[in-house]
Amino acid sequence: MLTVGFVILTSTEKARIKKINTKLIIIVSMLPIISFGTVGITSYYEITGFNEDQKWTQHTHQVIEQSDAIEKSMLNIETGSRGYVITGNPALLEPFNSGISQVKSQIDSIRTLTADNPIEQSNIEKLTTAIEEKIKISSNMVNLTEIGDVASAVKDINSLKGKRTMDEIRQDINNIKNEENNLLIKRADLTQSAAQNTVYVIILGSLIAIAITGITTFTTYRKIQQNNKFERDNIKLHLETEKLKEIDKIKGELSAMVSHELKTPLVVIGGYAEMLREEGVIGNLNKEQRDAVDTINSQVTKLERLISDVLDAQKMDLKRMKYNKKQFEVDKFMDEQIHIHSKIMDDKKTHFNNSTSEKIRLVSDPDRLSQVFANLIKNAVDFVPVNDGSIEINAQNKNGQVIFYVKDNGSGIPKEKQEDLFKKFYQIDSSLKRSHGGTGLGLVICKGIVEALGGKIWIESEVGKGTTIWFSIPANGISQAESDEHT
Amino acid sequence: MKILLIDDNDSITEMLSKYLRIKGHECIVSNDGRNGLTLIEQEKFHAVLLDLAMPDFTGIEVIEHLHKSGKMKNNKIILFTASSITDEQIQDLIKKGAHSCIKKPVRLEVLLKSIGA
Ligand SMILES: Nc1ncnc2c1ncn2[C@@H]1O[C@H](COP(=O)(O)OP(=O)(O)OP(=O)(O)O)[C@@H](O)[C@H]1O
Ligand SMILES: [Mg+2]
Repeated sequence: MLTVGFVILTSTEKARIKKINTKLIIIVSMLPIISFGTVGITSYYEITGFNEDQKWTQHTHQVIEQSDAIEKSMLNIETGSRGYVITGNPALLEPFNSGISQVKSQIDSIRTLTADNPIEQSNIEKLTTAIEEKIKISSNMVNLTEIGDVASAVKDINSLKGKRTMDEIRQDINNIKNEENNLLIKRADLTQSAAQNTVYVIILGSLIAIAITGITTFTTYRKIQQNNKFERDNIKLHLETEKLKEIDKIKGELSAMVSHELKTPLVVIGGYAEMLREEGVIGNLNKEQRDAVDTINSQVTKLERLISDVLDAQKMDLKRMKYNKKQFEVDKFMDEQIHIHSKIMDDKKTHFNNSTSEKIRLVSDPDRLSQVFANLIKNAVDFVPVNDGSIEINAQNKNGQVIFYVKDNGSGIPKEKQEDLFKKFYQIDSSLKRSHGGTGLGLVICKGIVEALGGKIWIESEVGKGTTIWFSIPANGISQAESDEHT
Repeated sequence: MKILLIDDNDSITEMLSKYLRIKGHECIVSNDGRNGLTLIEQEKFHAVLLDLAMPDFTGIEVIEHLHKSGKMKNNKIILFTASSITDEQIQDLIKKGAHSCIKKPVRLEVLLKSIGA
């Protein structure tokens, strides 16, 4: 029998699988690209941020430089004015004048540099006031000296008013510087943590990208391997099926050949035996010769039956058994069975009757059903006690089924062996001294025929009491398989 | 009765012809299909026993030829086969004019009855 699980993917299914695979591979390959992209963008922003930081550092340095320059200018104004008051030397007015002229633009410059910082703006406001005050005091001393009132100018110096203003200026400049330095430290902190983050992003992003690439490569490799294996398995299965089909074909041819080659010599042997047996055809035989020829004849019959059983079992295996369904009367059919087997029953002195009590019409294959009865009756005859045997056959209509049985009062079949009876070549007693001949194909053929005609076969048996073999045939003559085909 | 036996197996034709002659019939033997066909076309037989499986020219071919030439009706041709020929094939041959079919092996008694002798 051909029972091979056989899967061949259709081309559309293959295309679908391929499409899914390609889609998946594309999606997964995109992931490392996305990951590296993220790293790139983060790094870019970090670098732009770094440039910004540099700009700010530079800016802070400018502010500090400018503050230093303002302090220096103020020192020039102070030392210049004092030196002139004390020495009266006009040459000493030079740093005083240049200080005044420079400090103005320096203040403007620092003011623009810190335009966006309100704290610095107010610091500068204070500084400017102090500087104007200082310049006023110093200019006043220079004026007093110029008009010759050195005493008043010296008094001014001694009043320490100028010194206080100068301290104030220094303080203001320090405030400005401190503010800038604080800002610088804050910015440096920010830059550092941003840089740190960038490092993390780069490392993490790269790791993710590497991992995904690795996984993708691995799964793609596995997928390809799987696909290849699948393809290989399919090809292998295909080849195996082809091989089995070939074997089936050879089996069929072989059985046809065996059938022909075995039957031909049997025709000749049987023919001569019959001629010998028939009085006056090729001479007359004495009693012993007749017995010998009878044995030849009966053995020829057995051999014929065996050959046809083997061939039937084979046909059933290959599902080549042919069935000719037609309508027939079951009750008459049952009477015929009695008639066909009456001789063997008489020989064994077995009581044989048909208990069918209703008229039944059935569409099925009567020749094959007759074959089933022949097998069952032959079994029953072999197992019933000599001189005391009883065999009953019956048919009845029940729920759209015709139920048949062959019942005997023979040795019975043990429960645990009943299942195996339908296996090929199975015999309960296979010892050499068994009384029942045969090959163990009878019930296999019965089951094959009954099932092919849409029915079921089963056993009811008790050791020592007897055996009943039941089988059912659908009354409408259509088997389940056939009706499935039609719908 | 005049009976024609067409079978490539010598043992079978020898045995059958012996039996039929003992039974008082005229028996003509042909061991191949082509020769058998010629004989059928030339002479009239009461019955022809035709083996289906023969090398070169099979019994089926014999029937086909006779069917085509329209000479089928004149003859009572009994198919005689041991091969596992299908029922459909047999039905087809009977439709073409073969009389009946006997499956080997067969009892001589039965054979005699089929021939109608
Ligand atoms: N009516 C019965 N009573 C007791 N035993 C039976 C009966 N029918 C079958 N068996 C048991 O079942 C076995 C299988 O039966 P089956 O008809 O399949 O084969 P067989 O009779 O041995 O050989 P075959 O029928 O091929 O000549 C038999 O050998 C016998 O042991
Ligand atoms: Mg049996």
